[in-house]
Amino acid sequence: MKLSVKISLLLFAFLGTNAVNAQSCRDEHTYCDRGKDKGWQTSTQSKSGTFAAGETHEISLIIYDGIDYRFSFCANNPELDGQIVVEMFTEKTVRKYIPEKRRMGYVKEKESRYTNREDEMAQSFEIQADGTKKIFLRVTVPDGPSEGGRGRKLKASDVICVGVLVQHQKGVRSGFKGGEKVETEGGGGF
Amino acid sequence: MNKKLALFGALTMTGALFMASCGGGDDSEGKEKQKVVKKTDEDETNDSIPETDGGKIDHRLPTPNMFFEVIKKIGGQADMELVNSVDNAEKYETSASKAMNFGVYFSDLAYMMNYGQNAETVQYFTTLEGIAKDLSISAIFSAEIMEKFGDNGDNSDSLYTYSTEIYDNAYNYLEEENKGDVLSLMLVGGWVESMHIVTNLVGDFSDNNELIDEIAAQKDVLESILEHVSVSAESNPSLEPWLEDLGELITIYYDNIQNAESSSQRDENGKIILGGGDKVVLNKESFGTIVEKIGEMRETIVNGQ
Repeated sequence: MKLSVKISLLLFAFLGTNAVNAQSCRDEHTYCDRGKDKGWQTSTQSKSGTFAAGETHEISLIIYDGIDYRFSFCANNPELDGQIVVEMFTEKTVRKYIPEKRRMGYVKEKESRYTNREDEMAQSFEIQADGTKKIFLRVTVPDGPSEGGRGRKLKASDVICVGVLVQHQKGVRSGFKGGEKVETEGGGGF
Repeated sequence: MNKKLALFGALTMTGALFMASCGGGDDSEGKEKQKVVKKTDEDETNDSIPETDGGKIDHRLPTPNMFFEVIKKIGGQADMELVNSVDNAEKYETSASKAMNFGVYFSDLAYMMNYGQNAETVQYFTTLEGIAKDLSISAIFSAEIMEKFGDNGDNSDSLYTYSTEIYDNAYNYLEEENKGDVLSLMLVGGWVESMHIVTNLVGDFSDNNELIDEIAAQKDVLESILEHVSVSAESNPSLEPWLEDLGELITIYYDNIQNAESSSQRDENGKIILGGGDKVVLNKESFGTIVEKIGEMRETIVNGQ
């Protein structure tokens, strides 16, 4: 009897938490790491949303020339600490002959410019662009912990709040002296 | 593809094929251009524009505050003759013209704030609040914001913060309430007003003008707005004319793209430096066409037509 009461309470607490999470999901980004520098301002381009385990969503953002940007990612599920997968793309517009259409046309080609898979699963990064650009952030919630990771495998029914915090501050034009070249392979990754 | 996107496609394709023929292409390419320019049926138009994402990607847009911050940094001047008078607010009778001019006045506010014209901003805040009430979105002006505004209305930093909060509230509120069409109208109005102001700050055309470079870089912002409007127009046909106008503008941008080799490097602090990709370089003629088109669109918007 006592055990069933405990189970009922736990179940109620779990369902209750999920309901609250669904309601407050729009603010998840406010819980993401803000970095140590006090100069960062939160951008209105920040976004929070609901994900299912294993799901991927994409947002586009505008980054202005001469401004530093910092992106950080977080989820309401502690088992996902350090597990959110992020890939950043830019787009190139090319005009070329499209054989199947038999005419010239504009085609958008996405180029992968960064992924945290190749950056020790960093949950934040900073960028600056040499001109105003549109970037795309593809965010994936894994369906379970990575190899050696902790926590249980997530279920398809799990509802997860994910936040993308975008911060900006006036940037100092960065030079490349002493900078580390980031390898790009076929226009993708580094 | 729906009719609206097809129309946008027709306009874009026309520009693309015109460029192809001017670029010294072979005869068959020139003939194809002649043939296609006259046609506007869906089969033709489907093929020549980059596919839109159909609303799968969430396009986030920065506030006009950020745009004018950049414009000020590169030497744009203050000219308060360029903003829309608050007296015009009474002209706006339809929901669409109210939404568009909410965007216009918000851009004006951002421009004035960036140049420290704080005394005038009070009227613009009040006008925005009135329009928001008419649009039944007065929730975006929380009592807390208005109270703080009353206390700190002459402080530029505070004004910047409050206006950013209002923009953020409006964006999120309209998305959550499934009023994407209202948001689209605001975005169009705001962007056209920002472009109207900056194109009028340029003066005579010259190469290596940073203001023109920033106008050229608006291609990415325009693309995101177009995506937003094309999705909204599916449920609100009144957006179709704006889709046509924006389609004409994006054609000019696409016709002036110069691709540069993409690069990603890290500086000594680990910051990623993105280089290359699409770069629009406007010539005098293209710039003039953009100025003219923006002028026409702005006139329609602020006259409440």
